Amino acid sequence: MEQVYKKYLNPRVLTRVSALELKARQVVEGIITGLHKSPYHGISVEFAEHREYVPGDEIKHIDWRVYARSDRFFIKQYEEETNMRGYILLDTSESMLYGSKKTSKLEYGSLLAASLSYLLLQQRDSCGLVTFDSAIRNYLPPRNNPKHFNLILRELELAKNGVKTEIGKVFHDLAERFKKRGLIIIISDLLCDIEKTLLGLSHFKHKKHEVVVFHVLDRAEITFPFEEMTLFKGYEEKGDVLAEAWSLKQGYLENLNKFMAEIKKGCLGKKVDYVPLVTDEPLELKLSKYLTARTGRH
Amino acid sequence: MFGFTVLNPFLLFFTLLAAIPVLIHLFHRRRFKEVRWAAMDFLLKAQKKSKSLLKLRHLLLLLLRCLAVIFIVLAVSQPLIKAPSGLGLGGKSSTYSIIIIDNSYSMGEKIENRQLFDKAKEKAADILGMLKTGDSVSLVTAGWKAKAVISEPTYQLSAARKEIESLKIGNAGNDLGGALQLAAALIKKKNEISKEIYIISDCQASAFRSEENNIKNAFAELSGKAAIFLVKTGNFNPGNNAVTNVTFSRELVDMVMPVRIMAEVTNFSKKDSLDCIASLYIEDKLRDSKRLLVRSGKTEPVAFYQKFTESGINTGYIEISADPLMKDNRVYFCVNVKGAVPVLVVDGKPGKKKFEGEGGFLSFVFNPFGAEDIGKKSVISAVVKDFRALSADALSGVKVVVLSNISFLPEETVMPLDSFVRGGNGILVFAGDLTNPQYMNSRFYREKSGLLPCVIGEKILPKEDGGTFFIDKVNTEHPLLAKFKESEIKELKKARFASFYELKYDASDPSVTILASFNNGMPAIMTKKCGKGNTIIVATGANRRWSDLVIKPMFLPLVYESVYYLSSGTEERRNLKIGDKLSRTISFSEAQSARLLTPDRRPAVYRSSISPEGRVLDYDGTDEPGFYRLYLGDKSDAYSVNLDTKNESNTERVDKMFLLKIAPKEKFYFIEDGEDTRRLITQGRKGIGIWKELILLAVLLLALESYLAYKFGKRT
Repeated sequence: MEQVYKKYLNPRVLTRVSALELKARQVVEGIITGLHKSPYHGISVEFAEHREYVPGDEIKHIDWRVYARSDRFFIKQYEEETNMRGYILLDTSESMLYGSKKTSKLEYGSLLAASLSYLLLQQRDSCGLVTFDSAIRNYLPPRNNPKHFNLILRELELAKNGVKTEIGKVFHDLAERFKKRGLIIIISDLLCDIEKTLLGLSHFKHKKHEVVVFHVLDRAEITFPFEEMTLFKGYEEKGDVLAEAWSLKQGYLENLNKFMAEIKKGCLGKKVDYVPLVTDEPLELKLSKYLTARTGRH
Repeated sequence: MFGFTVLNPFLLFFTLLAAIPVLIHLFHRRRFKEVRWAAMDFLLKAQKKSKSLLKLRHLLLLLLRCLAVIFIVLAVSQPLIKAPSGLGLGGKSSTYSIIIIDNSYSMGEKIENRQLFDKAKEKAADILGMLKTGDSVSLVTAGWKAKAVISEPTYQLSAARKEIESLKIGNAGNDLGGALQLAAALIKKKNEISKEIYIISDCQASAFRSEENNIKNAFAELSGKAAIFLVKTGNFNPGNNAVTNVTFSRELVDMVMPVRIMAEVTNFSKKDSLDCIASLYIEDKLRDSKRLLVRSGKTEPVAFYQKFTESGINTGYIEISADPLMKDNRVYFCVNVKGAVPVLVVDGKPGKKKFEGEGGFLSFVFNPFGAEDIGKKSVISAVVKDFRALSADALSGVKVVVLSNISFLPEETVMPLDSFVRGGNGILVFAGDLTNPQYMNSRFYREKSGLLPCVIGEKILPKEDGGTFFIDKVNTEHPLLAKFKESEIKELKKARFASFYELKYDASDPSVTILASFNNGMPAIMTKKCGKGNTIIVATGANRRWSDLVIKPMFLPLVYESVYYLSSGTEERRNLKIGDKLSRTISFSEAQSARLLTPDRRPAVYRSSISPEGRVLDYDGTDEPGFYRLYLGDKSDAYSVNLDTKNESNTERVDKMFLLKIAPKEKFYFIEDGEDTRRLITQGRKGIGIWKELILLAVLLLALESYLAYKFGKRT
């Protein structure tokens, strides 16, 4: 277990994230405060502010203490306390195994998943983990006890790769399965049908979830640094291509950029946070940058 | 159809190297890196989109590379394009070649210390070396006169080589037209499929231009029957000076008066000749030298004044300083120097006093200082005789007879006088008061068969009292008058004539020449060639009553020159050109010991025939410049033979454009000096070399390939 900790809890990432803790918490709270007003009143609600009574307001919400002091009617307004459910959806399809350097996309994604889990649990939020390829391979429901982090790490360690990716189908399944609204964090290379992927995202949005997509790609996939005659052996039974790599470079990059632009556009259109990540970039930097930016937005 | 052949066909095997780019391509395709790849969809889409275009680009680059390799291999194997209407030259069939070597004397020009003729022989030997066993060859020389050295084609190439080595440079001009006609005649006799004519010449422009029609006709005759290679020797024209003419100021050269020997030096080069030195040699001894400036393309006269000290035949030459062509730097001459010219003056009206009759006056004219003058101030020794005392014996030893104011002569002297003139002497006739035209015409005109050039007619007087005649026209082209200066001719025209006899002549008689005419158009002085001698008749008398000519300063030189002219009638033609016939009539007794030697002292073989005057020796082989000496017992005579420098000394080369204008349109190959003769002949035989073009093409293809590879994305 110690090895698993070492593998997924990168001290630099954790240090950076911990340093951002307050901010992160605010961010997290901010996210909830801004997006998920509580529909309930009870022990779990917390006073937010006073508002002058207007006819039509329920009398039970009048703060009698304020009336006693000021002889005026004020309504107490409450907000739901942070009790966010974070669902981390990690793509474990075969294509995630690609890595031109030491780190594969899956390893990078797992590290990200672990870091985010750590962050959520540290903020006393519930955190769940779903691994999927063409179907849901494992599902850890959201919990907020610290022991749950061990389960998440074990699950990341044991995650097995499937062959194909069918994000759309998996997202539809999950959208139906997640009964309570929460924050859905998708970690994937999204190398599948773009329309189905966007439909899946729409489904989450339809269920009032907030969605963040971490689009993980390898540096080689972005720059296509090949020149010589190369046999490209495709993952996920996509077949092989033997060609002088230089001759395909331009077309490939055009297709990739078009794909990324469409994904980005689709996400923005659906108010989904889209965070492109490259596996050779320091995760701590990218993550802190995203969280900081997010704080600024809310 | 254009033919195509290669000099090194075995190298064509290497065109298989064109497969190298294909093999490299295939090998390259087999050597690939294997990469596991996730984003295959984008790759597949890119491949699908660019597959056909890429294939096309690949094929284009591959084609360019293959073609470049093929062109390089072809270039190395020396491909030749053969012109249409090929004659099958250089093939396996035997070839008949005619080698024409220009051995005109201009080929003696030295360029960079090497004679052009030696170069020509070397090239001829080189051409022989290109012939193969079974080929036959003929050899023709193109110096005047063209000659087939090997007329019957020989298969022994080594024998032909020896003939070429033994060829000598000639002393005459060019006869390329004749040589080509000879070649055309030789070609006709042979049945070989391949026939070649090689002309090796310095390509003198003057020779080609003067022979243009002959050469053109010969080329036309050979066109289509043989391939003609014109191999030029001597590209560079270093220029040439030549002595082009030598003349003497007088016909009669004596030991008394210096004679002016005038040489003409012509500069045939494009640059002025600043320090040309002309030297006069008499009997091989240097007598005088003069430095002269000869402008480019101009002829400069140079005069030497020479007083001969020995009578008889004197030999000499004028030579100019050395230049690349030495042969034309020297002109030889022979001159018969007279010791004395005995003149017999026959006076028709002798007077008692010294100047009373014309005879006395003329005697004074010839020897103004008396007997001491003879041989010191004049070679003319005049004796006056009364016309009645004239006899045949009196003519003995006399060179010129002057008949002045004659009414008649003793009858027994008429025929001896006729023989006297025809034997090579002369008569000068002055009219006078006593002149009996009837007698003179009957004895000395005799219906054109006599000595007089004309019928003496009536005495002509001016139409009005006190009127005079004057000489209006002077024939300055005649050798007698050509020596006089313009001022002297003007002096002659100033003389006034009170009266004269009409001289009626037959204009169709070629032996008769009018030397001067009066202002009324009638002849004043006439001459006639009779046998070896000449006669001159003056229409007036030699005294003051007839004209004031006798007191004019011009009278003396006129009479002297007339006597010189008449006395030189017996002179042999001693100064000949190369190829001229040397002819001499000798007595039968002299013929016994006659011996003719060439300039290099070899005995010359001459022809001998009999004529009424004696034995005639004819020699046609005057092909060496210099002195030909005729030995007749203890006497000797000499003849000079010189080059004809009119055309041949001009060493300017003919330009290619001119050659192409007159040459056959097909199968004519012009090879410049300095070019690789062997290679160009081979090309001519087999076609035009295109290796340079192929290399250029290959380089262009490779450049295009590089550009396209760069353009298509990356150099592969």
